Amino acid sequence: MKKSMIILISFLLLFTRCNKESATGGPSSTGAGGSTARFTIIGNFLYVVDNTSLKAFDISNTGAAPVLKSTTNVGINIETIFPYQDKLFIGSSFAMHIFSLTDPQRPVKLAQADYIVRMSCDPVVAKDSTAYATLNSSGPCGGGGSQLVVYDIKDITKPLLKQTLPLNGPHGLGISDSALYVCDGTFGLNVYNIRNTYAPQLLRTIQGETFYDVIPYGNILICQVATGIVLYDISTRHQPVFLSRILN
Amino acid sequence: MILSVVLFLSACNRTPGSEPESRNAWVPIYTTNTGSIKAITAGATRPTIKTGKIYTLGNLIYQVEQDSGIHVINAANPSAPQKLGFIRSFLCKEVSVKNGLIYTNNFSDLVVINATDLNNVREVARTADVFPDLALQYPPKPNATTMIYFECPDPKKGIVIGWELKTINNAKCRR
Repeated sequence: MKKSMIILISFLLLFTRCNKESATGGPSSTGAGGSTARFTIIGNFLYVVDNTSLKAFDISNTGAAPVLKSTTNVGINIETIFPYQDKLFIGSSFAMHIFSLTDPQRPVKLAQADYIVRMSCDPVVAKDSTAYATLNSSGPCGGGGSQLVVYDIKDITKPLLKQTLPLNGPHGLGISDSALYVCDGTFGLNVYNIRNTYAPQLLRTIQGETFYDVIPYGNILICQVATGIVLYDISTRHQPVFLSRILN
Repeated sequence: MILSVVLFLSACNRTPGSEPESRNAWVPIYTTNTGSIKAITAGATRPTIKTGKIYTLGNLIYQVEQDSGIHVINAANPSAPQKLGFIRSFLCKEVSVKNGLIYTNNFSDLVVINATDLNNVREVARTADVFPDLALQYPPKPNATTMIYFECPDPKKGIVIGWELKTINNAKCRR
């Protein structure tokens, strides 16, 4: 073999810098994705984020090409999109952006909360009046301390930073009832009690896998790990029980 | 539409000065076979190598195999899930599903795939260049501060699908 080294073009993609996703609900004609997605389907619309903008596609005409309805400039280093109720939470390296979908064709920006830690990879999830984001400052994402940040979004136009907790190498995260699952990369999967929503309490860390993202789906927690997928039973939300691995 | 028009050659910075200089630089690997890049096809189940994003609907779980396609998994029995098949899509990164149709990227295009019959997977629709980031024609930087040199891509030679590190003279592009 030549000493030359081949790297696929994909390595250059911003997409590969950090992956995160999380879930949106139970069974329906639309499913659930993770917190690191750049795609999300809500009703008859597919929302896509690229590096700088949010695009809304009408997909109501099943089988026809998605029709671009609007392109909204969001900022820079846009990484993730997460739907919750009639809102979109968009994670970027610098901020959490919240958009209203009152008019699904034309998302309207409601708020932007700038992060103190910059150059990080930041998926966001939300439930009721709280939004959670992980800020990853390791590796290509930048320097500084990685964090879990918690925002009060009772007033959706004015997110208030309520809590900052240390993490090691965070990626995606997901919520199921009073449990918050945070992928901390090679350090494991953190399970938090969020009964007190603004003060997550770390209950346990599941180790032995490199966790990238989660989808809580009913009583199953679907985890994207370095080797494929691992499933946990979360009938007891705070105590995931290993079910299976999907590798081959 | 010719894929090469999506190239972002403007991202190249020409190095100042004209002294030929031998150095390690990235050299493009091209393809002109855009037909195979755009092919959406069914494949046999395969091991997961480059773990990608996940999506679920009903009893099915979809997992992206980064850059290659989508694993389709039956998780009706979550204690013993089974891979059902694989959908090939070049540079695959994303997956979402609605009404039995899979939405993903194929290179920089958004594609809609009917995979209700995994033996008869077919492209239903396509919207070009929804992911311009995926068509960027320059090599990756190891980090934000390291300067890398590369041979400027020549769209006449095709689309860049990879990069080789070689010692060359006169690498004109850098980032």
